This record gives sequence, structure tokens and C-alpha cells, in this order.
Amino acid sequence: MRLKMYQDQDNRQRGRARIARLLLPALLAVLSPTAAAAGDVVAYRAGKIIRSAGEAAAPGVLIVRDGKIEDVLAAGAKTPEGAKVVELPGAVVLPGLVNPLSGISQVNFTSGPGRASQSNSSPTDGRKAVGLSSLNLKHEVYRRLGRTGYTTFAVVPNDTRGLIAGQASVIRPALGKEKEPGELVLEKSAYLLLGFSSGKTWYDAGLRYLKKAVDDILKEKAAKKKAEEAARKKAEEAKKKASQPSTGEKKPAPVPPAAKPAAAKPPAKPKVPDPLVQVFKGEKKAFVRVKSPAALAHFFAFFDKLPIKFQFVLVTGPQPPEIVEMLIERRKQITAVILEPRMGRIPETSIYVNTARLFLRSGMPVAFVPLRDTIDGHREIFFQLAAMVKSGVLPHEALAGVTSVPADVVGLGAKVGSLKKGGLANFACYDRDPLSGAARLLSVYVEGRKVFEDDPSTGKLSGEAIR
Amino acid sequence: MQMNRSWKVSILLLAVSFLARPLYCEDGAAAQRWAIRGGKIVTVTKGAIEGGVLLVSGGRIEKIIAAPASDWKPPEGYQLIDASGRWIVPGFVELHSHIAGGDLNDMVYSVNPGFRTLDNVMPRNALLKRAQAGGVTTALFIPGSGTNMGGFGTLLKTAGKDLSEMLIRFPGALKIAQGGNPERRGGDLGYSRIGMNWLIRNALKEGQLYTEAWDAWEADKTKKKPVKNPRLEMFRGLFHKEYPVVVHTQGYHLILSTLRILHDEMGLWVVIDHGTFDGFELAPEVAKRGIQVMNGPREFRWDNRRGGFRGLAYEWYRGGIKTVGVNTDAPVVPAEELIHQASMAVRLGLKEDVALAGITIHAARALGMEKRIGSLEAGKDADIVIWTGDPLDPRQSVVLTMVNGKIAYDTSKEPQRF
Amino acid sequence: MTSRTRNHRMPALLLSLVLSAFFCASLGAEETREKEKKSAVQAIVGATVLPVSGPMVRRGTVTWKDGKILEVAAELAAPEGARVHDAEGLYVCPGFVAVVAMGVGIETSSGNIGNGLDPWDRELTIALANGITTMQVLPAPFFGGFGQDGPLYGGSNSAVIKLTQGDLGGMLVKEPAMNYFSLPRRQIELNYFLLRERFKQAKAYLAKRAEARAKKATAPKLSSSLKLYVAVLENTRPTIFSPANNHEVKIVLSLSREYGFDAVLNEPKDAWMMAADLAAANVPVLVKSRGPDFDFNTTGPLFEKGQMAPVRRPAAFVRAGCQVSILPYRRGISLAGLAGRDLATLHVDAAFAVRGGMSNEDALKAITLNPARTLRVDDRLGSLEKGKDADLLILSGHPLDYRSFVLKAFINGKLYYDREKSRIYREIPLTGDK
Repeated sequence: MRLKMYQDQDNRQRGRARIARLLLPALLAVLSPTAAAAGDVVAYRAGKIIRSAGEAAAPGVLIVRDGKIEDVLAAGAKTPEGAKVVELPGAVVLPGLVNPLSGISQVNFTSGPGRASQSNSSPTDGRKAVGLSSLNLKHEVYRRLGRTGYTTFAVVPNDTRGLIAGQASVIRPALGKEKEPGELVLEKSAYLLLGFSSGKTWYDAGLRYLKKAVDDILKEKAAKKKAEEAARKKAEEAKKKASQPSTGEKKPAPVPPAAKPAAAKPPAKPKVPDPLVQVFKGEKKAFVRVKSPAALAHFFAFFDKLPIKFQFVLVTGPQPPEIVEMLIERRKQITAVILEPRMGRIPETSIYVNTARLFLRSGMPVAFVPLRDTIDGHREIFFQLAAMVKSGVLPHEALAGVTSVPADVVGLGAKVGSLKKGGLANFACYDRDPLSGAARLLSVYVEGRKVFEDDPSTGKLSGEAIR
Repeated sequence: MQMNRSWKVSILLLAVSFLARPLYCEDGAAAQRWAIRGGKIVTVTKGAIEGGVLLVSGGRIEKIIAAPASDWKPPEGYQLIDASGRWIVPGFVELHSHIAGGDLNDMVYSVNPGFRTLDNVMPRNALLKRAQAGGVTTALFIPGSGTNMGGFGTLLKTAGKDLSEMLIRFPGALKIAQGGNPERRGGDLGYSRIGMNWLIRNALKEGQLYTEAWDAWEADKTKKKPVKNPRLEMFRGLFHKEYPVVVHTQGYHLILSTLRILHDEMGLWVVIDHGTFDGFELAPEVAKRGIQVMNGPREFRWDNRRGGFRGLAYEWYRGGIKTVGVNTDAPVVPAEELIHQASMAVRLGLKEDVALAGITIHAARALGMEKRIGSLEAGKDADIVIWTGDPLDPRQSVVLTMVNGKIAYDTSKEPQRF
Repeated sequence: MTSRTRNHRMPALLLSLVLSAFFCASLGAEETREKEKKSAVQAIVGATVLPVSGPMVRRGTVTWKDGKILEVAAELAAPEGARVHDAEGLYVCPGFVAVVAMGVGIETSSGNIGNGLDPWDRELTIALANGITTMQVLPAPFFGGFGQDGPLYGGSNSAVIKLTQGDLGGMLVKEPAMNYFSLPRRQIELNYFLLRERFKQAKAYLAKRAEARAKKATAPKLSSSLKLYVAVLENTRPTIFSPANNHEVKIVLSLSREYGFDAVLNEPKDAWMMAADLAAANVPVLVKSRGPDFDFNTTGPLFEKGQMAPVRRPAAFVRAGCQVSILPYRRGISLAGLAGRDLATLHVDAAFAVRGGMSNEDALKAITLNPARTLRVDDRLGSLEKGKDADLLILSGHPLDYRSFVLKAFINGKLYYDREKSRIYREIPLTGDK
């Protein structure tokens, strides 16, 4: 028997522990960020939820579990057991916007022009450069990315003007606790960005890099074929020898050698695959940026001569109708077009055309990037999209151009760009139809965590990300 | 009285020298008489006459014989010029020339109403000789557009023994540049249109007041005699509408200033001497005021709104200026290519007869000289040019240029200049 | 499976079959239409045809197929199934050839021209709208400033292109087209001396190279500063010089004789006086028919020596027996506003040559067949003859009539310009008697 003194101590300890067990969740709830703890389910009830561009906005309940979308239920549906309900009265909930081509947040980042219509400067080879490697977490901009309404960015290395500009990494806005840039990354190398321009230097560089990659692949194929041929012949000969009658010598029948390809060796140490070769083999997506009509003509003249071709997303500036026609004819090669949301002017005239509308009417998917590749530029995207709608782009096409289409072209259509089951809980809330021009961005959620809130009633300054 | 030998000889010598007196003399002092047989006489004002005859004497067109008899011969004393198969056209009138002398601009002051191109005319001028070969017989030699008011220009013929023979009238016209060149880049007054228009108005106002003061004095309406000021003296004829102001003005807003200030406010006789860019859009307003437009040297506008060419002289015509003409702003376009400017106006839409009238009779009228030049009519100056064919066709050329009844250029006697 | 679904499946299937058949048929129809477009015969009938290589043909017919001319004849009926362009009362002639044009149809000219062509260049469109179907294009300007070798300026970056608006594939005919020199006027005598020295070095190099080849040894290294001069001496293409006076023409001719290369003289002014030398050298000349020529002073001593007005020079060179190509007053397209002074009015510059004494036929040849010969593409173009490229124009009047406009322009048999459909001259009415 323990002394009563100790028994009391024990009891006191046990009591403290019990109190602590009771208090701890409350403590955590107070101290931790206002985010759902692991295992929590949150149900966001809003008057208008747009699950995907093209679907009508409808009242509903967005169910988020573990930072992923579990479902979007009808307005009156029963919320899951234990779900925390967040009311978003009057909010229009959209999938978080996706930028398929941005230089934002790069090491030497300064405000830049829209990436779609930048001129290519020199035909360099930057295939090894990956957007991820030039992320600098210390840069303020990563936290501010969240207050734009965009929740996904494909960032390309800093100098995007070469013939092989580099590989794009897809990232999300920072929540503030990340220690490594890699924590922001959804996809390390979503696509390879290529560029082309008119002139001999580009043509020669095209031969040096693109044609050479193709030649290497063909050589490899030929060598492989040759090796297989040699092996097959050897096997055949062995077979023949086996079927011939023995010459009388008491030799055991020779065992036909195993039909191994002669080139088979023990696997060499793993090489980093060449992204350009991967593009030609169809293993990696490619974006090709070409700005002027003449440059387009020269690119296709070059491309058509390559023995191996690939499908790609075309990044280009505003174009007159005859150029759009030429590009539409290549629908099999060009899977989508990335444009800035602005009108194009027919050269030497004051006649403006809406290039995006021309593409969309011919069935070509169009993704938009902001006119200025800055935080404010991203915030202004809906003004620019409204201008597109005014000149003939349909509202759902405009919305798709910043959600589902860019998500698809970077290969993350299952995860971002729409509020579908299994996708990441990236969404933005506006106080009215975002294309109306007067819409205010109320809040932004990234993987279920609120990264931005703008609520005049709480007195918070507009544009501050909260922790 | 019996004439002795020496008398006979001297009479004989006199008679021989009289008969041997050259009928064609470049510096000819004596009046010459010509009978020019066409060909096609393009009178401009009264249609074309096939096979007619022009009689020239005393430096004037004496008579036009429309249908000479089959046995017609040139009258006594009249030298025949056979222009059968050719076109006989009045000499052209250029309203914007800078080649008749040196020193285009003096740009210390923004307005220079005392300047006179008469003081720097160079009559013996190779460029004028080329102009003759382009059928140009009259030119208004004006200062450049380096200042808002360059000075007063000289109206002269392109050929003659000396200035007295060539001079038609001084002042020929005042030259004003409304804008689009005189801008003072150093930051002085006149840096912008608001300043330039003030300078123009101020100078004109000064001239107007001077004119009124002298008019009052000369009409005995005042006892106070005004002070003679050589700087303002030539404004008197200007405000009496003895001669016009030719204005370097172009583009809609600039021409608007010209109309408002020079015509409406100051009551001057105005000629628009460029009218390029989108100025033609003001044509109805210009036509309402009866103002002549000499379009050039730019003759087309690339219309950015439509992605195509607009012919400026044609657009002025369409807008109501039925007397539109063209100019060269020589040496911007060489003086001899005045007819080429007219050809281009035709190519760009203007009718051929309109284009030809624009550089003959309408140009003459713009200067108040329609009684003397601009068409082939009896009594007018014998400024006659013989062409191989239609002057508007670049394939045709001048074979003979006659100014004031004297031959200045004759390809049968000298090499072709243009 | 209920009967309802079964009933719905058949019609749906039928419908989709019909639709796909229709779709395939329309695709097929499109294909055959495309084939028709490509392989069918086209014809122009009822026009006054100026083949340049032969006399005028009235009420003429021109036929072509697969981009090549089949026939030019009077009162010939169009073949069965041909696509006919009625040209009653209109004129037909070969597309004009601009022997030198600067900066037209080029987006970039660094390195070469072929990779930097711009088939949508507005200046190209305007040049085509005015009848130019082929030109030699140089980066602008080729006078002065390539710094290839110290004080001497020159290069080979030149190309002959067709003005196939919107169509890169048909554009480049050949490059490089010519070598060219533009010697700085300062110390011109010294520059000609240096040129001669360079040619000497180039000749020595070529001798060494020939020797090495004979011995099957490696060729000696060619320094980049000597490349142009070796190219000139190899004479695979002619070389343009711009001599300022007859004395310099003599120098150029003697260089070409001594080193055995073909020269072309750009604006040789009064070298028509040296008719015998020019004829012996058989050197093509590029001549302007317009001034101002500030040397041409009607009262100066040069005039008295026989200097000729610019407008008369082209005819003088023809009389001297030279192959004359007309240069426009300005070698590009200008939208500044001065009319009749650039490439857009090449036919008017040819008309000025007639003013100066040339015949209409020679003047038309000077903007078609002669430049084609000078550029060494006359096997393909420059006149309307069987087997040559179907580069031709339908005009509202005679090509040398200043009022004529190009109504249609065909290159390689394909319609590349139609005045009615184009915006360029929509505000300009067609004027003049035919």
C-alpha cells in the first residue's frame, strides 16, 4: 500500500491529466490556424457554387475532407456526420483559378509582361532548368499568391525566351509554414516550354537541338532494331544447328542459347531522362511559344520536316483571322491555345479582332493568362475576361479559360480546375458573378485552408493573407 | 538728191540686218509672233479644239482659230510652229514652290511679316529650267514652313530674260504655316498649337489694325497720320484682299484653326496649300467658305481604320471642293513633276479634266490671276506648252515651252530635260 | 432490355450512320474540290495579252495547270472543265519583277533571308497589289554598313522571292541571289585599290585550294574576311556594283574582266556613253527613270559634255545594247503619303522610261523579262510562255497606263490578290478609259 500522501499525489496527477485531456483540444482549437484538423470534414454552404465552368451556378454544399473535395451536395442535402458547417451566404464559389504559364515568384522576378506574347530573344537550350529550382521561399510573393483568386500556378524558369526555355513546375500558394520549396509543388515537371522565332539563328538552333533529339531517337530505334534482328538471326541459326543430324561425335546436343538481345547489359545507373526526348516520345507535354505570324510560318515549315512530331499547346499573341485559320487547320497538332485576354489588331489597320473568340468558335480550347504577370495582374483577370465576353467569348468559355482548360493543359485536370470528387479543395468565393466587374474576392481556400479573407466587417485590410 | 555709194551701202546693210534679225532669240527683246497649229488645243475653259490655230503676239494669245480653212497659211510676220499630232496645253501654275531662290527660312522670329522672297529670288536657276520642261510656266515662290509666318511670296513666271520679265506680282501671297513644322522645340513661345495660333492671330491683328489706321487716314477720316512700318506694310494689300494667304495646313484640327482664325475671324482670302492627312474630312466646311485647296505633296493617306489607301485630292473633290488642285512643295517633289502629281491624283480617283483644271485655271483663280493665266483664251498670257500627247500620261513629254510668248524650251534645238 | 430501349437504338444507329456518311461524303467532296483546285486547268479568255516574249495577242487566251503556263493564243476556247476568268476588255501580262527591293517581305534578315521571310508583311501585300510578283530582296538598306571587311562594304545576303501572300511555302525562289558592294565615297580611289587587293588575295586562295584538291589534301583555311571576295570570284552568282561615274564604271568593268566574274551595274548614270565597253562586257544595268539627280544640272559643264536627263537614260542604255532593268525611285514601299515614288508604282517608272525615248515593249520588258534575266530566273518567269511559271496579272488597262490597276494577280497559278476582295484599294475607284 502506498502512503496516502503518494496516493493523493497520484490522484492529483491523474486529475491534472484529465483536465489537460479535456483542455487540450480547446487549447489547440484556439492556438492552431483556423483549419480543419486531420480527419475533419467541413461543409461549405453557399448560394451559388459553380462546380465546373459550363455548369450553372446552383446553391449547394461543398464537402471538404482532408483538404480534398468529397462531394458537392444539393442545397437541402444532409451534411455528413461531424462536419463543421461554414456558411457563405451570398458568395459565388468557383474553382480556384489556374495559371498555366507564369514567371511569378522566380528568383530574379520583377514585374513582367504577360507571358503569352513575350518575344523570344535568343535560341538557347535551358531544358535542364526547372521552375521548382528557382523558387525562393523567402520571397513575400508566395504568400500573396493566394489573394488573387488563383490557387494553382505553373511556373517556368526565369528566362523563358530561349528555344528550350525549361520545364514548368506546378505550385500552390504558400501557407507560411513551408520549409522547403518542394512543399509547394504539385507537379515537378508538368511540361517543357519551347519557343521559336524567324531567322537563321533560330533555324540553326532548331537543327541543333530539336532535329538532333529526333535523330538520336531514330538512331536508338535503329540500333535497337538491329540488335533485335541480330539476336533473332542468332536464334534462328542456333535452331538450324540443333535440327541438323549429329556428325557422330559424342557431343551432347548444344543447348540453344537463350534468345537474349545482344545489347542486353546489366542496367546502367539511372539517367535523368532528357525532357526534350521525352516530348518527342510522347512522354511529356510540350508548350510552344511563337509570337508573330511569320515566326509561326517558319516554325511550322521546320516542324513539318521533322520525322517525329508531337502534339503541343500553342502559346501566342493576338492574331488576325487568316492566321487563326491556319492554326485551326493544325488542330491535330495543336491541342489548345494559350492567349492573353486582349484584342488583336490587324496590322496597318485599326480593325480589332477577338482572337480567342475565333479559336473558340472553331472548337479549339483556349486558356488565358493575365496581361501582367504580377500579383495585381492576376487580381485583374476578371476585368480582362469581361472584356473578352463583351467581344464575343461566352461567359463559360471565359471561366473555363482560367479553370478547367489550364488545368487540363498542365495535366492536373483531375486535381484542380473544377470542384470534382477527389480534387483538391481549391476554391475562391466572390460576392457576385466574377465577370460582372464589380465583384469582390471574399476568400480563397487552398487545399481546404483559408489563405485569404477580405471581410470589411472585421476591419481587416483588403489583401492581407491570414495565417 | 543722188545717193552716193556709202549711203546705198548703209541702207543695204540696214535692210539686210533688219531681215537677218533672228526671229527666235532666247533673250529676245523684240516681241515675237507665232502661229501654233495643232494638234489638239486644250483650252481648259472652253473644251478641246482639234486642228485649231493659236496666234501669239505681244506676249499674249491674240486669237484662236477653231477651224482654219484647208488652205490656211500663217499670217504675215507670224512664225509657224507645227504642232500637228501634238497637244497644246496651257502652262501649269504651281502654288507651292521653294526652288526659285535660296534661303527658305529665317527662323529667329516666329512671325516674319516683313520678309519678302522677292529679296532672294534667283531667276537664273537650273531648277526652274527643269520646271519649264515639265510644262510649269508660273510658280508662287514662298518661304518655307519653319516659322508660323515665313513672309510674303513672289509670283513669277519660270522663264524670262530677267526678274522684270519674270515677275508677275509681288506680293504674290502671304505664307502662313498653321502648324506641323514651326513648332519651337527649344521651348520658346510657339512650342505648341495654342502658342502658334496666338502668334499668328497676334501678328495678323497687328496688321489689321495697321491697315485700318492707314485706310482711315487715306479716306480722310482721321487727322492722325499713322507711322509707316515696313514690317507691316504688306498687310494692307492682304487685308484689302489684293492677294491671298497660302497656308501650310493639314489634318483635321489644324485646318479647323485655319478656317476659324484666318477666314472667319480675320476675313482673309485663304488658299489651303497642303490639306493632307485627314483634312479632307473638313471638305464641306472648306467648300462652304469657297476656299481653294491645293493638295500635296502627299497625295494619299493610308487609312488605318480601313486598312487601305485614300486618294486625298479625290476625297476633297468628293467632299465639295470641285476646284481642287495639286502642288509639289518643290523640291520635296521636283518642280517639273507637278503634272506627275496630277497623274497620281487621277490614279487615286480624281477625274482627268478636274485634275488638269486644278493646276491651270483653278490655280490661277486661287491667286486672282485668272484673267492672265491658266487657260488658252484670247487676251491671256502666251504661256503655252506643246506636249507629245496627253500630259497626264507619264509616257508623254514636253516638246516646247513658251512663256510670255517667248520660247524657253524647245527639244528640237536642245536636249530633253524631263 | 426493354422494348423501348430497343426501339430507340435502331433509329439512333441509323441516324449516326447517315450523319457519318454525310460527314465523310462532305470530307470527300472537300478533298476532291481541293484536288480540283490544284490540278484543274485555269484559263483567262478575251483579254489583250502581252506575253513580253512575243507580240501582243488580242482577244487572247492564257491557260495554265499545276502552276505552269500551257498556252497563249488568240481566240482560243477554254478547255473543257477549266476554271475560266473572263477578262473581256482587260489586259494580261507577266507579273512584274522588281530587280532590287529593300526590306519588303522580311521579318528579320540576320544570317540569311530565307529563314526570316514574312509572308504577311503589309508591304509585300501592297507590292503584290501593284503587280509585283517576284523581287530580289535585300535587307534594308544595302548601301553602307555591313562592315564585312574594314572600309569596304558588301555582302551576299540577298534572295529572290515570290510575293505569295500568306504562303511561306511558295516564297523563296533562291538565295543568295547576288553579291553586292557599296564602297564608301570617302577615299573612293583607295577603296577600289583595296578591292583589287582583296581580289588578288582571293585569287591566290582559289589557286591554293585547287592545288589542294588536285592533291586530295585538305583545303586551306578561308578567313572570314576573304569569304565575300572568294564568292565573287567563284562566280556562281553575279555581283552588283554602284559606280558613281564613268571612271568608276571603267574600273568595275576592268575588275570583272581581269578576275572573270559577272558584274551588274546599279545606277550607272551616264555610262551609256561607253556603249562599246558595256556591250563587250555584256553587263546588265539597273537604271532609274526618274530624278532628282543632283548631278544633273541643266546648265553645268557636265550637261554640256552630254550628260543626259535621268528620264532619258534607260532608253540610252537600250540603244547602247544593254539589258536594262528599271529601278523604282525608291526601293521599298512607303506609306508616308507621296504617291508614285516607290515600288507601288513600278509600272509608272517604266512609263517614264517611255517618256525618255524607250518603246512601250522595251519598257514592259524592263520590268518583267529583263530583271528576270538579270536575276537568272528567266528560265522560270518574266514572260508568258509555255512551261514558265503561271505568274500573271489581269489589269484594268495597259500595264504602262498610269491609271491601270491590277485586278487579279496569280503566282504559280494560284490567285493571291483580288482587288475586289482586298481592302487596299477599296476606296479608290477604277478610272480612265480602257
